[in-house]
Amino acid sequence: MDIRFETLPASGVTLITLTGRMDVAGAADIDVRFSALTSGNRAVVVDMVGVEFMASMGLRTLIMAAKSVASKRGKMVLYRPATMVREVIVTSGVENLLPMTDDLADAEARVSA
Amino acid sequence: MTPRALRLPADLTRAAEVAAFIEAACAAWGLDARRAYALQLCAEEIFVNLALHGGGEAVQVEVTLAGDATTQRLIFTDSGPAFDPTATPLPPETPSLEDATVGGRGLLLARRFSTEMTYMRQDGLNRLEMWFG
Repeated sequence: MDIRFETLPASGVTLITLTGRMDVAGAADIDVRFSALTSGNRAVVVDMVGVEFMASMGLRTLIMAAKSVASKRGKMVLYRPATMVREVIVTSGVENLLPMTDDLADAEARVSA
Repeated sequence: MTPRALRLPADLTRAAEVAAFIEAACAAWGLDARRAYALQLCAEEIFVNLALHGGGEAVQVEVTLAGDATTQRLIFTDSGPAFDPTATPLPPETPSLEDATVGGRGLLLARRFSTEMTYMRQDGLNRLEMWFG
């Protein structure tokens, strides 16, 4: 898996872009970097459009990150997850912990609030 | 189609071989993206669970795929300690991130993405069958 990040100029929100297969090997690829990025920021949007597959180990990575952001009174929102990735999150019963949106401005507003 | 089979130890680093095995079968059957995803997901969850909790590398796993373009059957047989994945309690709903556990949702996903799941302990082996379609 690949992980990149940038700071959105207008809002100062951290946008993390994940790409690849978020299975057991993919999650292991990004865990350290993702956790470092999320532990240092309070307003995080994760662009999921490049994640074509996610299993429970990927879900674990996302929940760990969301917990880390929340522990500093911050917020993390997932931006444009693919249909099946969204279905994995909903089926797991954690959509209340991992809010999702297909609109970047909405994502920025929700983590900045 | 003749059933396809893959034999390997329950070693976490071998998970990609399971994924490649499933992907080849899905392509041969011409399955749609949703069904292929469900098969991939269930195979990964069961294999990872065996590698992490089912005895690990010393345990031999056989993955068999049978069926056709409409209905598929994914069978996991392993030599680990008796374990019935259909009988594990579902993780509790968690209202807040503070209280949420990070893991423990793999078997829940496998149960919900397969149409039917049955378990048998037979001749000292675990046998888990998952039906799709």
